[in-house]
Amino acid sequence: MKVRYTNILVVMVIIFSMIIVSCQSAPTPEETIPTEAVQLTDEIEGVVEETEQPATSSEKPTIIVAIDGDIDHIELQQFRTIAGYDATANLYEPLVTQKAVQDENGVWIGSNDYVGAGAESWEVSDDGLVYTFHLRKEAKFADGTPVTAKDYYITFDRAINGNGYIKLLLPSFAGVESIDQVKVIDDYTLQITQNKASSLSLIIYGFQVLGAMSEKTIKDHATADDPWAETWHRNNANPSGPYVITSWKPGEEYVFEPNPFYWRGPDYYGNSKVIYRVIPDASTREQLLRAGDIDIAQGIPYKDIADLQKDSNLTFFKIKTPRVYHAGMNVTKKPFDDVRVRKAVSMAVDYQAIVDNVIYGFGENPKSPVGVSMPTHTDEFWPYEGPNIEDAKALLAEAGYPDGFEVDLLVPQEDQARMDAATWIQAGLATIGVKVNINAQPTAQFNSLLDTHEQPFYMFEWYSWGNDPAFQLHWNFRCEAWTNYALYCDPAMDKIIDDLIVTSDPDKREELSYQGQKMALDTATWIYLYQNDWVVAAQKGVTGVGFFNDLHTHFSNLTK
Amino acid sequence: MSNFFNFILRRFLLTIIAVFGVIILVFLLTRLLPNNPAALRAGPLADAELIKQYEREMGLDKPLIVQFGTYTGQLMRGDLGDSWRTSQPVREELGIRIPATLELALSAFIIALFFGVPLGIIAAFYSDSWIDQIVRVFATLGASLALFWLALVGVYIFYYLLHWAAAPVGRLTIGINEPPEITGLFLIDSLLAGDIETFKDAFNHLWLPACTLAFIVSAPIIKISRSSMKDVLNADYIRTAKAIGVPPTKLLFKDGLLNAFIPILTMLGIVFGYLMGGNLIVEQVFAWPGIGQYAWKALSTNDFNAVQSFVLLIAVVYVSLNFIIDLIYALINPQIRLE
Repeated sequence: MKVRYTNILVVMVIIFSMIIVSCQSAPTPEETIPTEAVQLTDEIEGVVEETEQPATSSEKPTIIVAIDGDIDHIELQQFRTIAGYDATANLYEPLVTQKAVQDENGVWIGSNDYVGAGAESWEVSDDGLVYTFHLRKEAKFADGTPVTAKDYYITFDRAINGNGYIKLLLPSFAGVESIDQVKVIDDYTLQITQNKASSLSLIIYGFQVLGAMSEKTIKDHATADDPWAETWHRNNANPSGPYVITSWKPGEEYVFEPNPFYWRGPDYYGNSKVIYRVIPDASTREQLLRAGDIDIAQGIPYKDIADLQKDSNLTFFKIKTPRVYHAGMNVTKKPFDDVRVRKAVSMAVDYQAIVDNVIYGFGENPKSPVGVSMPTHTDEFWPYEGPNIEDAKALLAEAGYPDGFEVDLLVPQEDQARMDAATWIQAGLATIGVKVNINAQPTAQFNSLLDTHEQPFYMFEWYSWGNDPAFQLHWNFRCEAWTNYALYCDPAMDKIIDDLIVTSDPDKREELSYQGQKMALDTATWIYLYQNDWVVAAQKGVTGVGFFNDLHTHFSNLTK
Repeated sequence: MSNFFNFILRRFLLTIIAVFGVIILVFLLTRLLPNNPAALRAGPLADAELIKQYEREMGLDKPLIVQFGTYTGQLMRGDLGDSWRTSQPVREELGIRIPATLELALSAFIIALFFGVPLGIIAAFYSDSWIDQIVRVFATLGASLALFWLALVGVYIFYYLLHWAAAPVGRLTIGINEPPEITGLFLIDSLLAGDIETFKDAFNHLWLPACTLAFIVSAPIIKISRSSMKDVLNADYIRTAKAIGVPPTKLLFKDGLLNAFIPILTMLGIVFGYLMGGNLIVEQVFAWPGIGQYAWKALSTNDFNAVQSFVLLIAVVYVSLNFIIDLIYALINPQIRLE
């Protein structure tokens, strides 16, 4: 019997070996390693050359950036993702822009001074109402047509009358409610007449969402249903800014190359190409970085950074961002309607443990709604010094909850840091008899639940595009602000915010901001948790990482 | 023959009914979630008024039955709606991503098929021998190892340490152009274009994720092949055939395999459906631009149209697979047609 079966066995063995070979006939080490080694040396030589002598445009390197999230689309006034923000920031040129300065870590950041971008110069009338911008005659769109006042006019028109969200900012912060307030004086002069003076006007006019869009391009692609050519602009652009998109593969890759008509000219660029590659998995990004296949990795988890820092081939850029993470308490819901309860829970939290264990020391406790690195930030009014169980318990008893209470804490489950912070809140509050049930929800669900304004206790964060306390206080503490999820309402606070917007004197503004920060802390609607640094990991030799306050990455200085 | 035709017709009608059922189910499930896609579309700075306006535009203020009517009407015209996350037509977005998933799924399927079925049969043939033991260990590993762990370890060993596999950045090396699109499968398209370099590059990117998936899905194939082959080999007619001196090769391949094949076929259908719809993790780790990642993003942002279309697509894949498998059954085993 056995002898006859050997035939079958032989056949099977042959089949197997074929399968195994087919599965492994991937390149053998002998085939691939030499070529990769050659590529690597090429790169190293390239680096040496470029650091020794200034590169001409043909020698400028290509920078490959691994991004964690995808670009949704690039419709300038409607995109919603951070990657979309990055892309559009490099495609469109606003009238003015933040002056770029290099911080102590070598990161290019936007300072609080504004310089001309699309506008060469501007004047403000004495009453602070009329802004007259003189545009650059040399500025051109990527199709070679000049950027004129008409183009900025249609951009504002679109912003005010289209479907974008910027129209929510213009009336409150720049006193612009109607397109009639924007006037084309001549081809190169644009005049904006505000209905109130605002200290924030330049910040608003410097937002990329008001970057010049071509009137001709909009008209060429407009349809009866789509008068603003939104559809076309979602995956196409005729940029007025430093870059153009030359490859558009959603979920995969986006390639940006210098705009040949950009007014600052070829010397402005440190690279000849920036490739955004979507690499969704963090550990894959780390391995690619270590192996040298990418230049920059975004979205490296804080817990992995310490380990990656041991790799001498890598370098890290760190920058403070005033993004304030907090646990909000809804003042219309029991038991948080009592300020003593809100203060008691704030006292019971171990803030240092959260900074150490949740963001691994990459950041700090902001101790104010106006984060560290935002102008007028102060921690002067911060009353808490580590967990104070005795006082917290006493306060809770005074408020009528001697035995504590039970409450649900709403957390977005995809955000590991907030999930971790929630467990620290849970542990802290347990010490004063408050039982916290963590209600983890997918982000979309989380946002919908927040929008009901019915959640008593929720983990949220706030980052203002404009680096000014007025934005921070407006969206979170003004009575009618939709994103004021704590439903805190005090006319005195609204007055402070109004005054902050219209006051231009820096000392007065600081005083107002201090008053606002003090009120926010006194009312204790938030448990202040952390503000995390923005950390970018890169190959050694990569320089020119830039990050402006309105959250976008500037490509032009990137080089290696 | 008319029996066979009737059988096909019956199965086809059932298939249509199943698809319709899926449409209703998917529509209701996505609507029942306590979310507001209008708020999502309006963004974080939106006020109640803008959200109301979007609700009207998106038809969300209308009764469910009207929304369902609109939805099925669009489906009939092949319109899957726009993704609210990216504002792009879902049909286009899925269209771009399906070839990537299909290429990966097909490769993994072929490897698992040519690996799993023979292994299972050999294990059945040499039941309880050392060969059988090894195969069983292999199958147990495939069934119990976590896919994401296996993928990460695979990347670490074959890409980072050994450099056998290309960098896990998707289907091609950064900077290499896609072959001209004919089938959307890069291996085939590059060969058709006679572009050996691109073929090699596509292959270097594909083999590791494909083998990873194949390792996991070969486990159920091995198990089912082994057990059904074993059942057949123990059947009376095989014993009789042995007794009357039918040669073992004929015994195994003609009398044995053909009869053991029906449960194997069912499993193959399930496995292929799983590969088309369930390889999010491998797509994630290898940055593979397929529909799994797309569905995940859609799901986590509550992008109704995209989620509905994905579920519908996968349902259609499963239902069509079942239909095809039924046909093959009927061809293999005439009894089935007479049911």
